[in-house]
Amino acid sequence: MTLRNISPGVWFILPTMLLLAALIVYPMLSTAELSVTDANGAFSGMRNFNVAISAPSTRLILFNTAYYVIGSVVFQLLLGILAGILLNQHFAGRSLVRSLMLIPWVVPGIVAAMTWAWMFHTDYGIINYMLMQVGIISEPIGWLTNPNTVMPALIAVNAWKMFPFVAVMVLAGLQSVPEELYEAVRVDGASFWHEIWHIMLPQLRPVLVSITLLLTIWALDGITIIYSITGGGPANRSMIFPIQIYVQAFEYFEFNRAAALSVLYFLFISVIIVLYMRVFAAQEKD
Amino acid sequence: MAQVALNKLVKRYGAYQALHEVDMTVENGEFVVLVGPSGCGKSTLLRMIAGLEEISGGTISIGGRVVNTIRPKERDIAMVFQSYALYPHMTVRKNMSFALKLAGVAQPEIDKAVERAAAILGLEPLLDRKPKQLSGGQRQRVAMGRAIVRNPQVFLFDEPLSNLDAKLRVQMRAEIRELHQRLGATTVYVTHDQIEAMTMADKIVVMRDGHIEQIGHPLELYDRPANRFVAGFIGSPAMNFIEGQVDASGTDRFIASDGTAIPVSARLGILKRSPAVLAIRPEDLSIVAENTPGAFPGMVSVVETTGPETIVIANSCGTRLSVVIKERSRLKLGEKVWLSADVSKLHFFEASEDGRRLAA
Amino acid sequence: MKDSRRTLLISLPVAILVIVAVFPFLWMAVSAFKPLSQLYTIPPQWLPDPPTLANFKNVLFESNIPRYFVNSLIISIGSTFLALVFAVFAAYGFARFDFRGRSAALAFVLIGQLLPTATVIVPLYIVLNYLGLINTYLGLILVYLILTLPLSVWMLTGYFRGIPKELEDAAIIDGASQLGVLFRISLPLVTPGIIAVTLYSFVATWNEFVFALSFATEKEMKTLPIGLAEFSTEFDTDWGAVMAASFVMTLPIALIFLVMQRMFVSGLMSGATKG
Repeated sequence: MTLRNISPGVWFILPTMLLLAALIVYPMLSTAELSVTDANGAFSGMRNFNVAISAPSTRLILFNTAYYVIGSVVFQLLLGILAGILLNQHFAGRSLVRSLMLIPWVVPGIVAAMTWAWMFHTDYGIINYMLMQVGIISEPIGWLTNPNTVMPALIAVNAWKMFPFVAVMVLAGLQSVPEELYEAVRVDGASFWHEIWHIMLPQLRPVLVSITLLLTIWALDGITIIYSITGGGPANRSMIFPIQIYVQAFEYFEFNRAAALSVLYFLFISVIIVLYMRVFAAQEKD
Repeated sequence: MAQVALNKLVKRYGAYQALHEVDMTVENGEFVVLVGPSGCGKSTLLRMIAGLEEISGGTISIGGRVVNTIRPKERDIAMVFQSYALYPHMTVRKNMSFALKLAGVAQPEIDKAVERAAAILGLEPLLDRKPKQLSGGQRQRVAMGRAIVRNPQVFLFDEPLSNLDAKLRVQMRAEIRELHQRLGATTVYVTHDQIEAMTMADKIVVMRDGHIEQIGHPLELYDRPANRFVAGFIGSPAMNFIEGQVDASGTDRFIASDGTAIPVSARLGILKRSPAVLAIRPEDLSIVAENTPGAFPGMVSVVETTGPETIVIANSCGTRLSVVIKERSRLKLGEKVWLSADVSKLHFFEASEDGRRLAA
Repeated sequence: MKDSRRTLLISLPVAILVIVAVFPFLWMAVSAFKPLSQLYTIPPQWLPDPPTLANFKNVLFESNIPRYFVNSLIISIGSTFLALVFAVFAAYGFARFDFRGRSAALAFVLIGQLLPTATVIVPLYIVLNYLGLINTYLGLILVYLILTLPLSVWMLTGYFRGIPKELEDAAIIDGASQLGVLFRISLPLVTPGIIAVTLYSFVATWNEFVFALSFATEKEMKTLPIGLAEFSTEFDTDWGAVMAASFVMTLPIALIFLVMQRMFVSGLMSGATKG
């Protein structure tokens, strides 16, 4: 293939491809290399991996990560689908509501985190106040200090932040259903719940499948909210994998161990993606 | 000298061959129309002349120079597209100046050229408008103006009238023809509409499946089509085709597949006993009284009036025949009629796939 | 009867939805204007009485926030601009040309968008360190390309595809070179796409936390998100300052959002249905 025969398209994409290769591929290869060497650069085989896997906190971190991801995705979907279905109905002020509903997503992650941290404040937080006023609790809860409540609180923040994204996608999916389909079902005597179950949800399935993957990946990478609110505490009860990687590298300066963790994590995420594609993409084909 | 010559031109897309060794010449100043059904390769051929498609084999010469490896810019050609392809973000004036500007021509020269082209096409009042403010016909003229401004050796038209309504099409046909007579430029014009071909061309090239079926003057193609395809493609309403064979018993008759006999002229000796196709144009058939010698029967199935003419479609000779008559008709559906064919206007084609013309 | 039931069935959840979505934001804004004495009260006070700018004064004049604001601005603008330049060329290549490996390349670009940042911060740090780019504007601008480039390329490719090919053919016949076609004809016609990509990149880099946390550690180089987190230490958080700084940080985003809100929603919708 002579230089002349190369499609001009190749030249157009070359700068970007090279850039991305340098920024993504090279670092990943270098991570792999780091993970099998020690601090002096000497080859150390699987030692870093062993240390990482056998560390006492690893099981807890694994559990926390799963807890956080599953909790976040479930509530993001629930809230988002509900909001999307609601916003698909006709009511006065609908466009205003649609815009307002986007606020959690548009607000910067750190701002959302800080605001919710303030709201969850044990003594001065508005959440404890409101719950006590309504009589649901009699004493202020240490949301962010109590090991049992810290994860649910963080999941709530994550759900709040991302549900508008789900809502927008759901809304778009619902709007591509021809109005006649809804009308036919209504004529057949179906109730609103039937409409939701038999028309909306099936219609949304492809959208939901792809969104769930995105949400999962984003949740798996969710450092901002947790790190800025609790830093992983108390006592590692809110520590999840990506934060552990950061902590190993930038607080303990153990780059090799952090690299090993990165490799493990990357493989873990890849497996999830592949499994996901197999299970759901295969189902799509029916 | 702006002659366009195609020599054994080939175009392949991977394993698919779109053009099979096409030979064709457009003489200096000639208006040649490439016509054929969708997918016949006419647009591909045009785009290869323009330089927008790669050449897989053979050569294209413009003005005596082989242009295979020469970029469109240097081929000195201008093209008018089906959807006009006017730059939406530029005014008419800028649209027309664009090419000259790219060529580095001085502004005063550009302005003169634009004014001149605008004058020819009546575009002066539109020069500062944007394309979306123009009607279809106006856009078409701007597209032509853009081509004229460049004063090219060859004009290429790619189905320019397809997006216009019928009335506008007739008007623009005449305008383009007029323009050609005025400028005398070598023109290659692609269309799928055989009426455009007939009315506009100095020479028609009929194409099918990447081959040239026939090249010739419009009336030549009309009166002596080289094969069944050209015969059926040129002319509207289309040519009638009757399958059968020449009578073996010695009389000068053609026996259709349903047994109907049609008188033919005496010189058909060579065709005896082999299946053939007799073809006759609707205007060469007439409706006659029952006892007319040589008349054959049919049953009326549809009667259409266009105003100046009446088209009668009758089931006869094992097929549906169209007859065009000049008078109003009071024939009704299901009525029996007697048809007569003008013996001097009969065509004969092979019954095979190629359907070549048989010497009559 | 059914109609009023339906209205209730809808308006109640809608009201709850709006409250849930908007309340935290409002609470942040309100808190920013409360004097510290009215922030740290039990029970909490709903509205400031009277509202004060003390927190803002603190944030704008006695902290590093202005410096961080400038840093964020420079980095976001720089990264957005760079991403735009690269994305325009790449998107045009993907949109207009067909070549071997095209789908693989496009897939690779899109996968870049899915990349979990946690897996690359370690090696990127080492590379940047080696190149002397830690705590520099250029360093962050470069790594932010990972976040902005893939989506920008994907979006612009769609926009370029929307231009009728005949326009570009006409330009070629008129004598334009391949680059000439891109800059004189195609680019002006994808202006909405350019705007969308610019806004998206700016917002994404403005809000970014992890890379900034890892690669800009020195006081002069920190960006707004990191600066904001700075106000809250383990033992003593100045919540008034945090809320005021949050307000300041959200302002540009809110402005962009207000102005472009129609585009936001419809742009996302078309992306969704393209699937």
